[in-house]
Amino acid sequence: MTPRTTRAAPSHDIAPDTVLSVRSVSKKFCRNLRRSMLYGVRDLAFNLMGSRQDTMRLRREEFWALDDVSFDLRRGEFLGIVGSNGSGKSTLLRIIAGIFPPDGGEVCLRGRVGALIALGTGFHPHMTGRENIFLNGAILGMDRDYIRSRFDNIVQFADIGDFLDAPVATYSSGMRVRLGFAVAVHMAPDLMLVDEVLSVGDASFRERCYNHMLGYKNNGGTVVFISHNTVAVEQVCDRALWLEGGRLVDSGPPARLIEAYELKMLARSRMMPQEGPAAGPTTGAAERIQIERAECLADDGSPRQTFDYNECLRFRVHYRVLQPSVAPSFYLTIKRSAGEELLSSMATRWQGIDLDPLPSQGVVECRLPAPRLAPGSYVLMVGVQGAITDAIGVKWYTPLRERSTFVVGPGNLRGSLPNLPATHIIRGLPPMVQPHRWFVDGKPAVTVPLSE
Amino acid sequence: MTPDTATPKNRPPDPRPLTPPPVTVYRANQRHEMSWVGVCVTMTRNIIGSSELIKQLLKRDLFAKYKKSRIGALWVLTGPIMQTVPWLIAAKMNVYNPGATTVVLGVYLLVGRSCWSAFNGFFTGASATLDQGTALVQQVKYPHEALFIKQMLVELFNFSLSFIPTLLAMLLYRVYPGWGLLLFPLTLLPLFFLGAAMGLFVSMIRVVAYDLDRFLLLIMGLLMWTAPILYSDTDPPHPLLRTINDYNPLTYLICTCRDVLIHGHVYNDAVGVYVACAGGSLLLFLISLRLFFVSEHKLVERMI
Repeated sequence: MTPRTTRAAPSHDIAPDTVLSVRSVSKKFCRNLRRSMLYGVRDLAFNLMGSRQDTMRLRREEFWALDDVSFDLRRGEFLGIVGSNGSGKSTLLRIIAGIFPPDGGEVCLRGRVGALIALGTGFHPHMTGRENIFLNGAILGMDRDYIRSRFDNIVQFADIGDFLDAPVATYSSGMRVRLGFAVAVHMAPDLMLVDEVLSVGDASFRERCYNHMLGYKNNGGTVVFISHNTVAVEQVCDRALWLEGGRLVDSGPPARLIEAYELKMLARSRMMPQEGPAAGPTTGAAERIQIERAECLADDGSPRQTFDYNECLRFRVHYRVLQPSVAPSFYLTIKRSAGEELLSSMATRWQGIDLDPLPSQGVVECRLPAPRLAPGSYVLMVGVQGAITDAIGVKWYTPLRERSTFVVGPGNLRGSLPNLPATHIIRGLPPMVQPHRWFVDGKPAVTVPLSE
Repeated sequence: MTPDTATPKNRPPDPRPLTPPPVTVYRANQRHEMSWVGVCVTMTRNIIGSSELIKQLLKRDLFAKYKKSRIGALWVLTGPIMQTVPWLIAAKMNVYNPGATTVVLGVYLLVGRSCWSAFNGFFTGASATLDQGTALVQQVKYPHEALFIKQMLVELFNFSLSFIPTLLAMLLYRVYPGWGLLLFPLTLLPLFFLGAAMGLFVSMIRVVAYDLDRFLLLIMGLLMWTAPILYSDTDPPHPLLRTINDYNPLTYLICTCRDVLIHGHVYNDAVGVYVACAGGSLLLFLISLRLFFVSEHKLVERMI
């Protein structure tokens, strides 16, 4: 058993304008299923005998899912919580919602809590949407008269049209979530807990949800918002918390915290071993051109990893020729750090740049004067192509691999946000070929018109 | 300050109430600190506050399952009737000889079986309390006492329906209940206490001890034979059964239920033993309720 230091006895005082006070909250879980069951039986036996357990001691194979987390939330605040998977965000939300009891510390909350954790959980598939509104409303603590008074608003918000009197089993997953969300947000809570539920549903519904939450906030509502969408957290939250390994790493203004969080996540992903084969076709032969490193630079040439929206981006690639290569073409592509879709690609060949013969080592640079990348984190992939033939298609001298990462912040978009629907920023921009220019060893590359 | 309790009534407050809303506190071992009276008061308050939820869940459980059926809720009546008829036929054709009985065999078997069904129903219903909403209890905060009450009401409804054919069979055989019919619901109470208590224990054990749960369910199947339900109470087929009957509290609880309805008196006229058994059942029920209240939120996190 691992003893823990005893913390000061908590007091139940809570300031009048404070809606939520989380004080030294800790929560433990067990990694081993059978052992967890054994502890359950033991706890049950202790409970039967009326004895109280020391919940602050870790037993074998138990770990702290939340460890000494404290913060306060005032009425009207919009708090975002970020953290990697397994950092304890959802556990914290469940403790605040009263679903799990804390093992240490205490949670004091003023008023009614509405938890948007798993929308539509109580829906019965054979009951109609209309019946399920009353069922779900009752589960969330509303009485019949109240549901009836809000019924039209719920139906309008859910936008399920003629499906209202159809069994929920016939609904799409998006429709179910819409109905679940519509019921949940109409319970008028003092504190709303939102756990990544807005990732489901189409863009139009997401936009309505964000707008509803912003409206709720403007009316004095208090929100705790968990999302991996850091841009959304930055845009809609007044304050953010960063949880990692169950501990509170940092809290403060969202812009500063999100930037630090994104950089940490990117650094971690770079330390992880690359999985699977490199993107792009390979011939199976050894690399002919070695990419020594790739850098992200600001307009003035200084290395940077964070950029504002539409700020000039420079990608500098240091290479070394290992084997003579005919008609090489540097190929750069940008993709979201989460997701596989390629957002933009640049190739020297496309601009008719002839790099043959390529010096034994050197630097190739691609400049994007006005990159229209939506705020978020990105990965730069670099490869070198050989000649394209009808017989074998593209020959890759160097397979396309992740070489660097960078973050785009909202920049000057931030100021215009209050007048814009949040999803204009949250929704990613479509892939496009960004206007770009190439430089070889610091000089503008010579462009040769492509022959017919 | 209100300790870990549900909102007293379902009506949500105005978004900007004039008086500050109450403060709720969650902390470790919070429920252990409550007295027995406090537990009873809190549970009662939670149940009253969840009346709309209980109503909705009841509606869902009783009628939603017939949504795909053509004859719909008619199945609610058809089932009990179809279960009654084979027993009457078996008794009439002497297929089954349980020994000498004080009334017509068909009535003896049907009434005894009905009483056992009530006990077994309360047990089965209570044992599924936490199971019933595994997904729900991990995602939404609501008083889980509501699930227990809903389960009990479902079982009561099922028993009431299944009892109608039993009563009709009694009239058919000219066995008239008399004033015992009025006392009958009272004699069901100890069966409810015992069945629900055992069920609540199993409901909690089921979450953390799969093997023990299976074992207890097997024991329940055998339990019916430890009381004179399907064989004669005055002339059991084996002397060992008589000894078991004499020491089995279920004998007194179930057979009194049956005898009050048929004869209008307590089983074997052993009023003292019956009252002791009934009192024990009530005590066990209160213990199980407290254990459920103290443990259920810790069990929820192990429901994976």
